[in-house]
Amino acid sequence: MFEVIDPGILTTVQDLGRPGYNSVGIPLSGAADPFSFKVGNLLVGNQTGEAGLEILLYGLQLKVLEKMIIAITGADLGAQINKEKVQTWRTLEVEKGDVISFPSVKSSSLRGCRAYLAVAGGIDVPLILGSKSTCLPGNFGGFKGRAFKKGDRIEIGKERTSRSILTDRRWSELKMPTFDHSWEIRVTLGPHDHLFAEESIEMFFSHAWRVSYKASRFGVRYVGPPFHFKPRPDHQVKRDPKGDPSNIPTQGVSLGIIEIAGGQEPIAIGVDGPSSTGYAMLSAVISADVWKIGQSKPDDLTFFRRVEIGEAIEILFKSETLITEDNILS
Amino acid sequence: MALYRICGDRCLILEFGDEVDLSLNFSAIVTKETIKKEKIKGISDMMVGTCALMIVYDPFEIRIDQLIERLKDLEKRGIDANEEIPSRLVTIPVLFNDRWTRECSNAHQLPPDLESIAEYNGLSIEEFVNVYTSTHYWVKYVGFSPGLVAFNTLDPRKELRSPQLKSPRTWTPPGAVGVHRSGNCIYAMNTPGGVKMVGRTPLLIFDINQKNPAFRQSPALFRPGDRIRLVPLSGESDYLEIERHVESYPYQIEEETFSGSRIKEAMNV
Repeated sequence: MFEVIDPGILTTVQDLGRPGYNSVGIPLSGAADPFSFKVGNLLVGNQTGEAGLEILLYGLQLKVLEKMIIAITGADLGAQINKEKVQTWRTLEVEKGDVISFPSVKSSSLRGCRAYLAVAGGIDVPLILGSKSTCLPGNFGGFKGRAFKKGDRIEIGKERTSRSILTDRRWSELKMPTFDHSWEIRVTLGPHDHLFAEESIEMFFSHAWRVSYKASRFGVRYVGPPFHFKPRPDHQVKRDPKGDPSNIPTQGVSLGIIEIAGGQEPIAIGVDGPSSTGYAMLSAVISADVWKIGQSKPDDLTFFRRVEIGEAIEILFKSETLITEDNILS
Repeated sequence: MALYRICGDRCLILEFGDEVDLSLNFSAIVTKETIKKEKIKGISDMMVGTCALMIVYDPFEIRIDQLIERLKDLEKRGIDANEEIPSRLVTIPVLFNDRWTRECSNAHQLPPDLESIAEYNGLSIEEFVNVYTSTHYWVKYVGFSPGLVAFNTLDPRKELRSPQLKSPRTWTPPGAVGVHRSGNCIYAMNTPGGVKMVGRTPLLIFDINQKNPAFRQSPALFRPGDRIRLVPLSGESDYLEIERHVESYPYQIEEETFSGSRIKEAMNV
């Protein structure tokens, strides 16, 4: 069990999400950086989708109430145990009374913004619609449907693997993702590229986009030049003469799709994002790079690089095969 | 035939048109139902939009070219856009000009929405409520946020419109009924919103605990293709009485059917 001494900015219980409920407006939820999350679980001997903690930036302090094996992965937020910096992406044994903390640091000095804490046995919360993840927009799932508060006591599940096997396991540095202040995010073009002026599509792929202060699990907004659109077709003008060319009749949207809000700001839909939009969608982040949106923080720079769908799938298959025991050193 | 638009490595969008037209929405719903019956392996979710259907698939289970081929084959065999589909008629009591939505507007330094919408349509508040509650509505889609339902009148003579708020509210009372251009919605949750509000229902339209039998099949009350009848409540005491027993409230849901040809007829009055 853990006791929350300080909940930090936003600490939630997550797993790999709750797929299949877009049609009733329930977002996927789950870890915003699923790669780091899965590796954490693998290190502590859990199934890769077992529930763990997602930690944003700084401030979290957890008191350990029983001996357990943990691993901290994701961005290096300077995690400490009893005020001493510890190594991440490896298993650690913590004792009753230890304090795990993420000290206050200048967020601009950090590379990435979310860390994951996996614990052998997982976080013990009820399954809701097949998932233990917290659905913040629906106030359900995870721990009481919300982010942690001071004084919360968090239960741990039963360990599957014996502790002696789990000690001193670390993730191969060669297979570590790169966290930085600038991101190259691979995307496919479409579905609504036909609505945009050619030069705006070129601009989208050449501009260095700055992550806006509106970056969260709901989505990441980017700041840059405005977009231009092709003239609207006659039948639309006839029906609605004052219509905005950046608007479309409401359509489904899902994780990683980039809509251009008001023809101005690209928004990459996040894990807790809406299930529908009325803005034209220019592009979609490939599944293998969705974690980069999850790690992007205000003032980071982003370059969008176009790939074709076939390449996106190849990259996805390759990235999935990385998550295996073979890449764990012990 | 729908337009197929590939959308990243997990989504495919079938577009039936690019306008708000309920017969296009009907096509999206019928197509979803037809695909569902086909039980295509690898499809994990389908989201009906105003005139499109988004299909989420698992690329580890089906390749995009295989998926498109299956769907085109299905289309060729014929998806009947005039077909009779299950369409429940759901009655929703609404307190118009209620205290909570007025307080919400006030908290955002906005004038009360109902006055401005009635005026926009050249009506008094009373006339607005009369027209607004004298038609059945068609559920276009459920989503944006958990359980939110979007619907349009099935009688174009009764269509009331509203401009959007210039800057969105940071919160909205759950159950608020809003008018957005020619469409309408009910907020299921306290969420930010840019749709002007005319009233509030005491009923839950999303319940993750699924306690009331109305939520037996889904935590969302509505599904695309349902119809809505709005009934005005006479005062706040009626509202509070329903709210107090909402978990055991006997939702009035009539199991009926509706067809694409009836939509076309209705829209061409």
